[in-house]
Amino acid sequence: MRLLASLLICLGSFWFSPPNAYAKATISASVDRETVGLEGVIRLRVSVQTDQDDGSEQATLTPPDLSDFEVIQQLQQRSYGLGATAQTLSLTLRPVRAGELKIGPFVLKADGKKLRSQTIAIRVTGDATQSSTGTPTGTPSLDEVLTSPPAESSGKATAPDRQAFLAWEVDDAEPYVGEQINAALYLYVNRSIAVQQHDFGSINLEGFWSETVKRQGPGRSEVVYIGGDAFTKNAVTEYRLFPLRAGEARLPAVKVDLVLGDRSVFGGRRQKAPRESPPLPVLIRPLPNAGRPADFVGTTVGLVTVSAKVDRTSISATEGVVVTLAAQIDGLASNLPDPVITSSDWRVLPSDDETHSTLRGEAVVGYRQRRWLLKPVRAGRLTVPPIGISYFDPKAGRYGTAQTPSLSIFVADQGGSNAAGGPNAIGSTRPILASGASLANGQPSAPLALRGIVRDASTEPGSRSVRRPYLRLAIVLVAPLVFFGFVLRDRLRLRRQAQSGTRRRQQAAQVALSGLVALGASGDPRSAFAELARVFMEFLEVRLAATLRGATHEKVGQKLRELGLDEDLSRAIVAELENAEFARFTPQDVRREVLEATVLRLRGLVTRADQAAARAAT
Amino acid sequence: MSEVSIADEAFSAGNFKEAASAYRALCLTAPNADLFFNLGTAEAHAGRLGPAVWAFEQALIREPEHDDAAVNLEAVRTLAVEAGLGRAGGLRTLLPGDDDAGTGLLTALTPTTTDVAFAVSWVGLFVLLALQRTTKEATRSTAFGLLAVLAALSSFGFGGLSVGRTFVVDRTDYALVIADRSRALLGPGEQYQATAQLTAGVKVRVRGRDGGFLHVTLPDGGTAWAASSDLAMLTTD
Repeated sequence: MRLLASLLICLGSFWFSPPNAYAKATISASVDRETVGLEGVIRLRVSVQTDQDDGSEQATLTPPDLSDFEVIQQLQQRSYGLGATAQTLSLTLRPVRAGELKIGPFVLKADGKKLRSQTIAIRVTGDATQSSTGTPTGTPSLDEVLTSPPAESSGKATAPDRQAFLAWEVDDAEPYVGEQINAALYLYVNRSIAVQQHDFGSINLEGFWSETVKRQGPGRSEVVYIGGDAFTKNAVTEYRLFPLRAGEARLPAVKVDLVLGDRSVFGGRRQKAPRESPPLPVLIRPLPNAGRPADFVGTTVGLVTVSAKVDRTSISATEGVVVTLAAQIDGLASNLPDPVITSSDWRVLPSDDETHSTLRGEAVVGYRQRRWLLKPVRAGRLTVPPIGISYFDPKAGRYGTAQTPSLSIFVADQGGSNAAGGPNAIGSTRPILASGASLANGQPSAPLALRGIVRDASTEPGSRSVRRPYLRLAIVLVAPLVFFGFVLRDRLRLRRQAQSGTRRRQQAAQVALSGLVALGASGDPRSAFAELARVFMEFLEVRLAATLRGATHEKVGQKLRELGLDEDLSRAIVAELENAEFARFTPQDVRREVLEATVLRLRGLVTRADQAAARAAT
Repeated sequence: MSEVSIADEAFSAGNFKEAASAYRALCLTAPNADLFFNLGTAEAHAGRLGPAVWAFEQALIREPEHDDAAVNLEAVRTLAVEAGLGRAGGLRTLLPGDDDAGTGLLTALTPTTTDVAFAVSWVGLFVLLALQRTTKEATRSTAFGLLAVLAALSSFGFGGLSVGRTFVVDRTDYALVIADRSRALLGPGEQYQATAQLTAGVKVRVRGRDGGFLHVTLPDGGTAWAASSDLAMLTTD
């Protein structure tokens, strides 16, 4: 035992001390089971992932104390990715005593740091006297072949053939009856050698059901190091096997005639090399009796889930309802039993059945869909009873039952609201094919519900549905035309308003002049002065488009200057406005000559202001 | 007794094959949606799923809103799918239902629905633009503007569907598989390898003809040849 432990240490040092070392590293350890009997074995897998960094120091792996275990097999693999290396150490351990055992952490020293894997607890049951037996299956597997003659004193594993050899591998050496195991036949070829051709005969897998499921992508290939030699490990053939009976089964010895050559550019030497893989025994465990449900039949091994649905929840008494059961098993679809529906409320007609399998990762998943046509034997609220499938879950090691819920169907009697006539009942009801009537040519027997024909249909020829192109064109055109019509109308109105304002301004001088002439000719000078001021102010407001009334004379002068009239003119206008104001409040001093002179001055001012406004506008 | 009454009576008596023959003859002289609907119903009851699907499709071509034809077409298609699944052999099997050959979006709505939706959104767009012009309140103007953008997008979408349907769907020559099953061949002749099995009711687009074989686009987008005797054109002729 201690020898093997020391062998591990040597192996770890050998394996994890390549010339390149590590910038980043991770380490993890896992086992395939946490409970094992004394006769059983545990597969321990230690994975190290690193980023390569050629300039760094070396890395070493130190295993924990494994004195509670006998190391039966060991295998190392290394694969390279983009700037990373994954290295795996696989150990097959057999406990030497019962109880709670621990596998301590593996320690990786890399780049001056220490990384530890987690501690793993193993519960070992059973009689200690059984510990002296051999490997669980007596399997001369690849791993055993590698370790059985630990020839070199260095403790390094050796390959059975330094050129090429064959070996079986299974992912579980102790499966239950009906449980899936993945078996692969590997061809190991030394990397300095090329296999130019090989020819395998048929492989007789007696005792197993082999499920063929299409797999995406190429087969597996990796580089492994055994006894200092690098081998390319190719999966020659892979099987998803389901053991048919308990006891020892055997993956057979496989003979192959290889033609080996060197990797010379010119083809080099060729050499015939017959090889034969050792057989690999597999111990098939029977299904346990404890906890077996009464309705468990056959080898329904794998977790099962079921669901059920009906095509309608309300039918008439003359119709039927189609019940569809969908079952899924993590295993072989053909292992799913034939479920039955038993109910005194229904007459169950023969069903159709469909099974298929797919691959989820490496696991086969089976599907089975089963349909029944159920005819009611009475009206009312009827129930389709639950449909159950009992199975054995090998992962959990226990039995279980998957069951659908009961389904409720309302069946109306012939006079009920859901009742429909037979095929003769033409009209608004839907004629139904006679009970259980099949359509021709083996078509399904599900009832066909169709709407009835149109009686006395017109014999006027119809035409292909008219897509009303003119209506569509009208809708497309009318809306924007109306909208743009409104827009146009608004613009025209604004323009008209603008034009009328211009015209008024242009005519303001004439209106004012004629008004002034009329006032000058009027007989009453006292009332004429008030009108002179009004007419003149109105002229100014219209001509200059400004509001002047109500402002002081000083403000009026300022506004006139802002509107573009020169200083003299503005001052003269303000002076005349003040003059008119003064005359209004001293009517006794106003004479006719003064009025005429004022009218004359104002006419001159109107003419000058009109010209000034025109100049300002341009 | 009129010919329609004779056909109706045969249907009522459960003589579906006879009724189908009578309706078929009437469809030749006076093809309209109701007669094709009756023909399809009689064919379905007679167990001839392919001709039933064809007749319902013909009814819907003439009257897309024929609700009874749509309901019965769906029921018969379901049955045809089940029949196709039951006969699925080694060849790839194409089933009816997913046979719009990439025009699913264009035919998802009825023409009337599409046209009404377009008209409402199009007119609404300009009403909203007019409201936006006249309103002086900034918040309300912004809301009208956003609604107008939505109306514009909606009208362009529905308008596109309507125009697309006219040019892509209505102007394409379709044919239906009326035989219980037909083979999709690599060339125009039985000597060519079959690539798929077509079940009754599968709709294909017709690209051309060579003798007794039609060059068709299959529902999955591939092209193949099929015997013209197994197919019937979907036209108003």
